[in-house]
Amino acid sequence: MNSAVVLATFLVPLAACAIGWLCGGLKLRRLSTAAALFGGSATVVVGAMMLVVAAGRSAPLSVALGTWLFVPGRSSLDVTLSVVVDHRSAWLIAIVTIVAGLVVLHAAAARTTAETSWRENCWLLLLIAATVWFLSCGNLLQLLIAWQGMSVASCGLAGGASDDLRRRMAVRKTALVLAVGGCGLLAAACELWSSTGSLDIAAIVAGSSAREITSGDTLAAFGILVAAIAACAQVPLFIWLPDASEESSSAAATLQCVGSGVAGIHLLMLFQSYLAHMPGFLSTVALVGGATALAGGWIAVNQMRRARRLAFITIAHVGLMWLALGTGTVAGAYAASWHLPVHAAGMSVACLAVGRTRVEKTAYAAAAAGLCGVPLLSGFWSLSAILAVVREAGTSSAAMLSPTTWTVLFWCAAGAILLTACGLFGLIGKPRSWDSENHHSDAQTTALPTWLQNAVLMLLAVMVMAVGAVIGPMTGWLAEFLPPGTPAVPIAGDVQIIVAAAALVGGLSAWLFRMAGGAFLEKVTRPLQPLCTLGRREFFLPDYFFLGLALPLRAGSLLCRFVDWFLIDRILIGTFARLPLKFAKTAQPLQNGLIQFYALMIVAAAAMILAVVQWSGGGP
Amino acid sequence: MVWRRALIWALPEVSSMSNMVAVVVFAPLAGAVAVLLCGAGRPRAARRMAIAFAVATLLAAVGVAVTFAPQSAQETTAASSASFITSPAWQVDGINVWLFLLSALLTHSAILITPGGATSRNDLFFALIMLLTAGLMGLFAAGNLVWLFVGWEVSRLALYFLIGGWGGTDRRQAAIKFFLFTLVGSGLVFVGCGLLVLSHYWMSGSSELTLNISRLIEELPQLAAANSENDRYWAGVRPWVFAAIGLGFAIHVPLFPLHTWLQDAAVESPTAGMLLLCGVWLKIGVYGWLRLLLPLFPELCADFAGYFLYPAAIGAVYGVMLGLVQDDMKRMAANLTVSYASLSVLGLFSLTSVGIEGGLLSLCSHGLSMGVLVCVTGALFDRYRTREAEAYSGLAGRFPRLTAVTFIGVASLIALPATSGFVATVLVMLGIGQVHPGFVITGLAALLLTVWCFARVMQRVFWGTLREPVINHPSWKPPRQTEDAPSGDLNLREVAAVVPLILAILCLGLAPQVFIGHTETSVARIIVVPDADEAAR
Repeated sequence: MNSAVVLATFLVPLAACAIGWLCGGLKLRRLSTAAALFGGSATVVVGAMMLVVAAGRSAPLSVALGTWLFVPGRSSLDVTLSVVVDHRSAWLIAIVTIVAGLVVLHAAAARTTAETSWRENCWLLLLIAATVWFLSCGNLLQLLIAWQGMSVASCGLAGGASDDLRRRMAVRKTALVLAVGGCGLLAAACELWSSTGSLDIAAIVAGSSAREITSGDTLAAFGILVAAIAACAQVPLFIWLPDASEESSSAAATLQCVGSGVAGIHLLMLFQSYLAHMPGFLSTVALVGGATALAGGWIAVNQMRRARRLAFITIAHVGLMWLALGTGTVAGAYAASWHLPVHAAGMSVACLAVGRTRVEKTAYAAAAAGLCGVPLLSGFWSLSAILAVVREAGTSSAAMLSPTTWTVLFWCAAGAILLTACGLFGLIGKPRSWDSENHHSDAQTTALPTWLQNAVLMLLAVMVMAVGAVIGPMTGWLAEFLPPGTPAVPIAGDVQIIVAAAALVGGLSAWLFRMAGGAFLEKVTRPLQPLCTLGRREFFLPDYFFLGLALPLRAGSLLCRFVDWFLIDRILIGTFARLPLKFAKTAQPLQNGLIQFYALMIVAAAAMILAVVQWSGGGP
Repeated sequence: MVWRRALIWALPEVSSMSNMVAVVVFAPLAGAVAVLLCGAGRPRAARRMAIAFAVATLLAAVGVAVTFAPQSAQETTAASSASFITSPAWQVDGINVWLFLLSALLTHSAILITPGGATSRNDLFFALIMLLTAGLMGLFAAGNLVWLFVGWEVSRLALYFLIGGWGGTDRRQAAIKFFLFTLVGSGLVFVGCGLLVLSHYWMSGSSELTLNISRLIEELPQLAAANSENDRYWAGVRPWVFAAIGLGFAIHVPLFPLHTWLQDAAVESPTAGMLLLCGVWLKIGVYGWLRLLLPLFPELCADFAGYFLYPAAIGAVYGVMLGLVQDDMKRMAANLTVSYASLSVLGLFSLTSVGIEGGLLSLCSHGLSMGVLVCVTGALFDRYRTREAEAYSGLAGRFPRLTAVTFIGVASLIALPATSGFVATVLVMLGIGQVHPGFVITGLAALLLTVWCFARVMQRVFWGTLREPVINHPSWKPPRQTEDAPSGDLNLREVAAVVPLILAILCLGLAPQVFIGHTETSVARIIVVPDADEAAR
């Protein structure tokens, strides 16, 4: 029963995706939509069952699926497909399946006339299946397979086969950044297999403390870090998420809340103790998280388009979770795990509730309040926990960074909370026409929402407001559910005051900006104009992207072509080819025909054999 | 297994491995003769006959693969082998059994993808394709050096005439360049093998020359160790033989910087020619190293691995860099072939079982997926007479089948899961990672650039607003004037050409153990040096 539930968490969305594709391909669009509806609801159910199953067990649940690949030899390679679910991964799987299942329900229930909406539903389901597979992987090769699946689904959601040039660029960006992450993961797998002879993650992590650190280990840790940065869209690989989120609200909700972001967080949690042994790596996680949180928050405030603003808020919140994980403590992982469902549910509502009706506006306001730290609501508790963990890290004797650095990071996090609150509150009550000037027609959001869509939104909005408080201070359930030994994070009163103040000041700033209009915002942001351009669509495209990457690559390619044509072909090979003409004028007639040349070569070969034999002493 | 028993029961006469291999080698040869005899002036008949013989060869190759027992002895001696030249006639092991299948599959695709009436002298064209296949089969099946060279030269000449006779506008130059380059390669290998045979003859004191590859591999080290005189002699000759065979096959791989012949030959050759050239013929280089270099000189391979690994690492990135600036899809495919061949070399010279398995799988995977791409390029060329990626846009809506097929081929080339390319790339990287992480990084850089390259081309050709090129080519005739000229999405003939390749890509990707299970014993025989792994490090 337990194994069946674990397998169902990724088989159900996968099967729904396959059926959806089949029906869509056969032009049975209604059936495809029905498959998505059923797949979405079934995914929610199995996600909830997963939680129940995991709560009833003390040890991780492991299901072996059989040997997929075995190469014998001195360093034999054995890849046994298995699903391993402990409490932490069960928690993440539950978040992904429940939230994403609801997003699929929302997407499938839409009144849409678009011919390709069934395709998007399939991509959503594929992304869920790949993410769940990623969260339950037992070895590195499986992790890589799931990663590639996530990449394909993310590219499909980012624009797929869209005719729009901007969407195509978004797909290309997504593909490249996630390919960079995949390469990082593969490099890590190679190095870890070389040094440990195993691809089993548990064995690698368990043995890391007893092993001497080599350059290969450092490379492996770097690869893992690159993969996590790409998945979570952290600095400097954040460029793909805002572009990819512009395709549709459902795509944005899935990509931002339950896609590769959760996978990246899981990757860091999985290898947290391994990275802790590598000097400087957890500090890098904390620094990247802090910097991304502040930069993401700032850029979000300056965004004039809803989808992009929400994407940068997501980037900032994921940065906060990175900061907590960068402390390297169990409490840090706990705080990140606490904030994850709040963020997932909150941003899903923020993306889906585009302000067409009063229900959507209400749901959005509730989600914004729940997420950004309004006192006593979910975000307030989870964000306070993150700040408390960061402050505690500065006072710890085992801290890898100086207390001053931790203080700076603490205030970066507080600033990020303020800015994201400002960004989220700034969108409350905005009509759809607010960012319609350069918004392409999204067929899914032009029609009015159905009752099922409204119900899903309200359910998610209630979750956002309540989940953080219920699993935290009210019941303490999360601390009991997560692995034994997880301490509940003590949250000091002053930290709570800082979070509440940040949320309130953020809300007030948003109201001020609205009152003052766009000119005021422009005045405020003018001194930091270069930083603001980070969030524009053009960033990395015509300027940095072209000058830093595309142009050198093209120049390199042209150089290679020149080397190929001129140096190798004309000079090097040409010289050798002319040798017979130059030095064997007497054999000129022989070179006129190919067959004669052939014969000449055979004679030359025989002569060479004799020469070598003679040179080597003429035989024994 | 039941199906294997059923096959053996159904084919009692050819159930012995020797006979089945003979069928694999001689069926295409018979096909070439039959097409020439019966197909002159009757293009339809020539084509049908070629298809029949290609299918027969494919069935025979499948039969060999199915009945082949990986753990059994690998040599099959022909009953009539009395002469030293033909003894033993064939050799079947886990390595060449896959190359039989690859050759047969690609021959089948090459014949089907060629539209009827698209070429002059159809009979000769198909006969040359069958002859090329026969040469390749003979080469791969050869248990002695004479058959190996005969097969090699037959296939080379057939390819030369295919390029020169039915290629593009610069076909003659390309054909001559191809011939001269590869002639140097085969000449060097000829020298190396000649020295091997003579060395065995002199050191053994025997009255007859031994051309049997297995015997040479087995006995040469023993003879060298038998007395000090032999040892001194062999120590002097050995590096020369190693260099000759290594360099000779390097031209065929083609290893950087000996790759410049490939571009012209591949681009100028007809679609069927390019399919067989890039898909199978280039595999001769790596196959030759596997068959001769690694078993004969394991210590030298370990000592001089860098001479193969560094050019391969450069070639892996260099090939993709060349491909990035190509608008001609065929030229891009040819450049990427250099990169993929280099990846196989990286796996091979990691000298680890995982790396060699990866290199082998990479050979087959590249042949299959490049076969799909070449077929697609050919199909587009048949419709629009241009291979410039710039000329196309938004074809996905118009040609959904063609788009789907291309996506699977590209997915394998960029190592997406469930395709053979993924398993091959992972195995090569794991193997080469044991030598030095720098090679892994180089390989991954090449992979990343390949993703970039294909993302650009796929988006340009298949997505966006539909734009079809204006046909302005001397060889184009309106569809009604050309027999079988395609116009819409992939037709039945073209689907039949690519579907077997796609099925093979997916089968190897989903169940790679089928491949590994067949090759592991043969690869274990290659890595006989006790400390090969350590030496490689």
